[in-house]
Amino acid sequence: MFSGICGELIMEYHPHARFEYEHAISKSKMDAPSLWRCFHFEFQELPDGMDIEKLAQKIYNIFRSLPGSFYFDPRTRMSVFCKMDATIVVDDIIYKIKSLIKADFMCRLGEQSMIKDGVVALQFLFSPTSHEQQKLSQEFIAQERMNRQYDVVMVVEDDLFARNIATNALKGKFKVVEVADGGKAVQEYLSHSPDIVFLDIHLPNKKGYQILDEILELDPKAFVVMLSADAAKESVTQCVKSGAKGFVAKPFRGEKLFDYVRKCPTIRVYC
Amino acid sequence: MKKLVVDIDKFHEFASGDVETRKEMAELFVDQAQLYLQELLSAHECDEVEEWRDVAHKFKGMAGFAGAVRLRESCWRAQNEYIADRGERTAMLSGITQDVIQSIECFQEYVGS
Repeated sequence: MFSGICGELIMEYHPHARFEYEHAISKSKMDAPSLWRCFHFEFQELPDGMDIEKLAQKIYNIFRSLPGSFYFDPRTRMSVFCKMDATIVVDDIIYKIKSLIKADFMCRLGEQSMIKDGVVALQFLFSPTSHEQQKLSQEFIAQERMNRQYDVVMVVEDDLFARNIATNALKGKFKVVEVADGGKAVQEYLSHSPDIVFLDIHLPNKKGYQILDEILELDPKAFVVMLSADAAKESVTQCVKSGAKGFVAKPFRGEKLFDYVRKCPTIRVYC
Repeated sequence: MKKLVVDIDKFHEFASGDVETRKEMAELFVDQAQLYLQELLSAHECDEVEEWRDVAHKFKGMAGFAGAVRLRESCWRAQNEYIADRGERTAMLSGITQDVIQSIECFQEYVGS
């Protein structure tokens, strides 16, 4: 098995790597501590078949090919303690690590902290690009909701009459976004970041189930309630299994929509 | 017993709001019913069975909200029963047309009241 430790500094295993570094870095053993960096590499959702041990070995090889000193501890948080100089460029190391993963991964800087004697510790988080994009859209949606002074309800329904029934019931208390075309629902969701979505199942261009999946992929916390005249048990079960918060059978009274609005955690208006 | 064409109590139950809002909804029904009937006719003439079912489904939904009881039932049949045969569809369409005419008359009377 890959031993993990190299260089002249021997570190004992300890679950808290940073604690080790604090003890390990001392002026008696190391010159110019401010030139040293502590890198923590973290990986989320590595592709199937990718072995973290083998990846650690390859990352070790990257550092071994660089000039200067380093200490490597793959047992904790895949941490590398590296002496920075003009020839060591972090971006190049990140690029090489991303190449090793052989999948569409992104890297972002996580925690930054100062440990003993001015040594900077940096955390690098690697995760699938799709995962990062989802995170970005979630953050964007949450921010949009926080920044505005009103609550938004989106009604996705192709029948104008049914849409008006819903809108008339809701418009006094909320900004209501109406969408008739299933093909535009996800785009409108991103444009308006609604607090709650009432989503019809039978829609032109894209079915409600598919829209539900796409919205939840962008925003797993989305509060979506399905609407349909087809109140069969299978439909209700399928919607809830897919992540819908509820199901309203058509025809419905406006008050029925408020039952779900009241359950939505981001709605601020009392109703 | 002859079935009610439009159950106004049902309409009031779903179309909440003041008198003006309800009258607007009644007018909307009149416009949309003619539109959907036209779409059904078009799907029938082109033998677009899926399109026929989709329109019948949408029409059924609106009729339910409006309390148009008979129309809702005939739309349910148009959506769910065997419709591959042109003759069957022609008969259904004829029934739906009658229900639409009678429902529209009810709502026009309602708007004028």
